Amino acid sequence: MSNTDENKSSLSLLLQSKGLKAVHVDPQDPFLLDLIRETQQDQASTYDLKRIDEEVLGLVVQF
Amino acid sequence: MEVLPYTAPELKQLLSGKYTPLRVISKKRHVAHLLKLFSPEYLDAKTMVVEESYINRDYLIDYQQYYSRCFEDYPKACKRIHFFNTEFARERLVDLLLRPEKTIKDELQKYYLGFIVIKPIPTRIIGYTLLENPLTNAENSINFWGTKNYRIHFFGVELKIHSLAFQEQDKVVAACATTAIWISLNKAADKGRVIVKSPSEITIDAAQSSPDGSRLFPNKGLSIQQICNGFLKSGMVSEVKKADLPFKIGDKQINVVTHQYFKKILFAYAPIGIPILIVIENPDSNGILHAVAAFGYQEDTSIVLQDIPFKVASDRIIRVICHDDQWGPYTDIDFSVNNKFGLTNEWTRLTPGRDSYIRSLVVPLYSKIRISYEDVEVLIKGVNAILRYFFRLNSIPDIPEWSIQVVLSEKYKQDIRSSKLSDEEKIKILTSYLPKYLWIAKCYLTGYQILEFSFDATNVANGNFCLNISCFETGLMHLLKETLQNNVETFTEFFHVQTGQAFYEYLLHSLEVEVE
Repeated sequence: MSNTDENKSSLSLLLQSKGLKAVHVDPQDPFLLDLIRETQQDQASTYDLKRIDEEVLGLVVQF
Repeated sequence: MEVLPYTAPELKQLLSGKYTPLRVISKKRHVAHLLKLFSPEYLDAKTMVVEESYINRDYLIDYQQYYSRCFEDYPKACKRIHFFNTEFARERLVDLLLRPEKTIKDELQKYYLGFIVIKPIPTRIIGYTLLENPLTNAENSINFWGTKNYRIHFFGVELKIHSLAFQEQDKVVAACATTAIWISLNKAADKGRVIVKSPSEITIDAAQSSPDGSRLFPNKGLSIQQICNGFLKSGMVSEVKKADLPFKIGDKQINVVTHQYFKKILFAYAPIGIPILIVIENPDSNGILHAVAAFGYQEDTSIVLQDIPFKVASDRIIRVICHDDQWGPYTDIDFSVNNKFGLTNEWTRLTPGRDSYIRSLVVPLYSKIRISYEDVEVLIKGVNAILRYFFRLNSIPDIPEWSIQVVLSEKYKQDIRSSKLSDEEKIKILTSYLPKYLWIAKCYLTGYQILEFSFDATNVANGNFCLNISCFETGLMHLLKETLQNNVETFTEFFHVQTGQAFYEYLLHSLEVEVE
């Protein structure tokens, strides 16, 4: 990935064409609720990777 | 000193000795691999120069530790073979060696391919080896983050080589785990804060006995815990990365590291430059694990990433370069296309149709790097969710792409100088007081960087450790800020992790979002 002028132009075109605006969120929006659940599960899985148990530490590398 | 034209039979003859006959040499995997590296396709060796008696520090210590106390009278000195990719005879070299050093260097340096030390012991003869990178010329897209400059003394002349030291395990004072640690320490010691030790010293540091409780020597391998001890005693710390996917092979349930997690970890820690240990289960190994040291990867920048919820730049890694002490230097690992965890390597090429699997990773680090990749990723996943939601409501189909890496702050400042940030923002960062190591998370949309987060990698993960947020697209930033302002409470849900709330407060504060 690089910040080339070509990439910059492509981003600017995209943003202009969509007429971007700030948004007010509907807290009951199903997509939002799914996104929150999915993100929280994903974050929990990432944190779980930090829990190194004896089974992992006991793996023997011998070949 | 002997000077010989390079040929495969001549090399095999040189590798053989009293304890390792030619028939054994001919069957060694390492020999086949070395012949490939010396072929015209790669290094194209033309001449060998032999030092018949050479004292190698690693072997000398291992000799003192074990071989000298054998009844068998093993020699103390090794043999060293230098390789050049030009043809010359002994007379030419003798003539050169009598000239001024600069003349000799000018003549030899450009043709020098490195050396192999041959140990005078049975079968496991490949000692300290430094070979010119055989993949540099042909494949420039490979990032060799674990190599360094070495100085070599060739009959009183100093030659240079950019490589990573290799040797094979002797199965006496070292198995593959010790050898992989040795390879990794060899690079880490570059900065002088880490002690390079011989294989026997590393094994003694790592453990008091073999993992099965039997004697340490002959060594039967090391557990992951013992590998970490080995690094610790040499002045480093380790982060162990565990498997992230349960998988069934036949009747056996094992946990494996997925391609994506493996690539994320390589990409994240590569800028520190220390080879990473990969713990692999190869086909037909009966569950016995092997360790190799990864020090390079190849990216295919033309790959268009799939729109998955958390898109990462590391998914463009297509190949990993390792030293595998059971095969030789510069071996490669490719990713199986059949599933999201299988690997192909030298071992699977012996058993077509079957994959190798990663069971764990050991990332050796300098002790000042205390915040792990996962600590940063959970926070960035929260930001990613806000961006995804914001873009969706604005009918933008693209999903942000992230690059997360730990870097030296001096490197970060170099990158900032050449970035597209405003001069004011550049000066703010360039003149700021920063810790030695930073985690940098870059966010891209349609290939253009829109955001950059810097985190203090030396901090503790109990409070906020984000140091700065830079925006490369000011119009977008104003809208994001307003969106955050409108939804402060709702977006809190994306930061329900340890340190998440502290980070979210920092995010709101740094964007000057008013919180009631």
